[in-house]
Amino acid sequence: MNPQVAGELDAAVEVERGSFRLDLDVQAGPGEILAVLGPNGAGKTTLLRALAGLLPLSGGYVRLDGTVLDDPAAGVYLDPPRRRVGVVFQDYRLFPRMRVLDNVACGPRSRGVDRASARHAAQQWLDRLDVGELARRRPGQLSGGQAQRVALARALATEPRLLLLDEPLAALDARTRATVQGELREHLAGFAGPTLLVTHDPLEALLLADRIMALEAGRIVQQGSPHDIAARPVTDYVATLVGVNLYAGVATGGRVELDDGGAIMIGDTALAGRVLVAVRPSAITVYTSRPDPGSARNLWPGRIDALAPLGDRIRLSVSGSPGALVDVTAPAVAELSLARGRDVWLATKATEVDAYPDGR
Amino acid sequence: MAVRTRLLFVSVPLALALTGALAGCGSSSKGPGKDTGGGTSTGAANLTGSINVFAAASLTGAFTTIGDQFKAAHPGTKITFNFGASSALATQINQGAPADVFASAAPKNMDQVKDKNTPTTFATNTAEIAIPPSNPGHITQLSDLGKSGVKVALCQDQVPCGVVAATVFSKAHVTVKPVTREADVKSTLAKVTTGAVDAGVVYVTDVKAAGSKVKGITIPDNLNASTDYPIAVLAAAGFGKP
Amino acid sequence: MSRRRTGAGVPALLVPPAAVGAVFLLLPTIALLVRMPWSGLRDLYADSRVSSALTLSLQSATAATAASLLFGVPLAWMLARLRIRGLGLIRAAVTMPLVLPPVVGGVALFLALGRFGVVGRYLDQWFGFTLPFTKYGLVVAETFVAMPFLVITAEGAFRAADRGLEEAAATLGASRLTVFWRITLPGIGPSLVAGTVLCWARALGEFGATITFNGSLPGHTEVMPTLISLALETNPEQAEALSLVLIGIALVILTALREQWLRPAVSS
Repeated sequence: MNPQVAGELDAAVEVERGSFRLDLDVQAGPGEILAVLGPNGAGKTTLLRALAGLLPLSGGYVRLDGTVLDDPAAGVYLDPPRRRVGVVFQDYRLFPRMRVLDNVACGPRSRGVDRASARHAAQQWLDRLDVGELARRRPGQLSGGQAQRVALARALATEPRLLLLDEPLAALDARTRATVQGELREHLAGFAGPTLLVTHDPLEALLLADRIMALEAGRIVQQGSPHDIAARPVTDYVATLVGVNLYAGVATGGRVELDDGGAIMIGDTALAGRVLVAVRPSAITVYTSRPDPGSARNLWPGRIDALAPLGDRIRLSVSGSPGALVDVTAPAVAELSLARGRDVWLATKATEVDAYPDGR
Repeated sequence: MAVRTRLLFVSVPLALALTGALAGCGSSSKGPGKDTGGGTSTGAANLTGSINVFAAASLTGAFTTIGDQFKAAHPGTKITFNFGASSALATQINQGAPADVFASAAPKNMDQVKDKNTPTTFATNTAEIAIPPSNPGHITQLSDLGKSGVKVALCQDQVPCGVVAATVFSKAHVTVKPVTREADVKSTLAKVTTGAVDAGVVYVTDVKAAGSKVKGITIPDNLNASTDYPIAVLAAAGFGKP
Repeated sequence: MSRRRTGAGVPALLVPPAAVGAVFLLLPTIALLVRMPWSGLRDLYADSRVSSALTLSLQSATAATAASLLFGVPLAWMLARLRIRGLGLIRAAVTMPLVLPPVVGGVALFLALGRFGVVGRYLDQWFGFTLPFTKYGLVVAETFVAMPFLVITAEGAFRAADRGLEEAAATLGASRLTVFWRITLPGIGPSLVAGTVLCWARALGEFGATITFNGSLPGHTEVMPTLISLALETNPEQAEALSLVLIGIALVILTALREQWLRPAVSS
């Protein structure tokens, strides 16, 4: 792996665009993958463009490795070519008239490297991302997953100090997405600088990021590790956004043995090998005593560790094999007298459970 | 109506011819526009109808004035003029352009026209050198036009004023290399009035008509050339049509 | 049996007007071809006045097009991308030659660049050089009337260009000039070719502005359109033959280039 300079991002981003105002602080250290999660219109793309230099700040500053990239008060502004920031756009934006190899060689060429060396370096990057054989193709001939990897190679070939990804998996279909995200995590792990990825898909954030920043209407509403956010969402929005139970395990014939203990029945009997299983808190039913066998194929005991009110719901944090977050109504809590320490039974149907290959 | 139209067709060219001679194109003491429609002996008050008159560019000022006076004297008549290089007009007439009367600046161009009644010469014009008032080329006489560096505008050599200029130079043994050959005498004059050239060879009538916009340098009579202006009613004038 | 078409067929109602339009535009060309004095052509073109007018026409049109590209493309880029006050005024001034009758354009040029013109007088005083009546003046007049075609086409193309690719190139480290040269310009290729062809054809056919500003001298500054209009007076057959040359050249260029270069614009 090429020696890459480790980077440290420190920014206080203030952007005003018409009536919209983005105002947040963001820090990220070397090797850290930070996900900025939020709905459309929250300001994620604005943040990304500001860090890339495609949009000047209205106030605040952006510092990368101590170099000031943007500081309106001090009159400093570096345009994108002068920043060492790599960007992978949601629509990839590969140059249609150039072959893949030349696309990737673009970065080194812009920095003055001669054509032969640039192409050599480009080929190495493509090989690293397992798309080396596509070097002679044109972008129009690539599939979504291939294009994404080429775009990533192109950004990494510039040896950036900060990597920005805009909805990296959004343009892919569900099947490809699962395969690609695993590989993506691996490639990102090899990048020495900080990575910031923006997305509206909580799963993408949970799977790829070390840390999540939840963005809403231009402000950060919560940040922390994926688990923390999911367990203790501070707003309804974050809860709904991040509320999902995620388990890893091995699947055989419709049954998944979970790494952390316990087993879950899933609907897809053809799936085999390492998988990820996702269950929404609202899809789990709580019983105060073991119910008679019903259509729900998953049934297991647990103990309530905590209750958190969320608007019209209560989120229970239940430990067990596996542990789970469960959403119930306030009346239900009252009627069942659910409280901390109470032993309960959890049930969920196999059809309510999502499972897909774990490429990590 | 046919009779009245016929009268109109006869009277106008006569009127124009007579007054054109009277107008004297500069070399005589009488100015243009004198004594128009009164020169005819037709029943002037009964004239109505409209005619198209194609005339050489050098006749623009004179004919327009005559036309206005004629129309004032005979309300109900309409005369439409088309001024241009005689050679161009002759070609247009032969191609079927709707002309009733043709007045040319040279007999040669009148000869080009096929279907016409007998032409009458009604005027004569001679050449004169026109220079911009500020005289940027320091022209004082004809031979100056042959000096190198002097910008001269001439008419195309198939146009009457171009023929006249060539004759003058030939008589004076002066070789002139013009910077431009214009399509008709009015364009040549325009190059002089705008100051684009140092001198141009046009007709005396043009110099007079341009007033203070140009200065004229007379060409000595022994070196000068003239051109006769014939006028004719065209066969295509359509007698008998309403 | 009714003719049913699946998918996107041409509405039947559009066919008659389209056919009339095509015939109307083709008819003069066909008439010319039919009435041509084919046997006399060779002698005609051997005439030195004709060959000099033709050569000069081709050379000056090409020079005018080159000048239009050199100055017009950057101008079009600025009109498309910059946001400064007063740009609308510049755009109006740039398109003015399109709406002016060519003779008026010639007069305007004369007022600016003629011997006593606003700028022309300094050329005369300082360098002893005047533009009118020279080959340079010819190119200037043709550029004046033809450049707006190129500017308008190019500006439209720049506006429609994919900014996303330009942004991507910038993030990869490409300077603004590199982005313009290697991403933006190739991106508007087909439109640029179309604009260039239009510009060349317009310069080739210019008549009013050239004779008004630059006069016309056979062998020196006389171009094909002027020669043709004069030939009409003395030798209509020659005029027909000369017209055919211009039409032929125009047809060849327009047909050859359209297919090859404009197809990518349709499919991209």
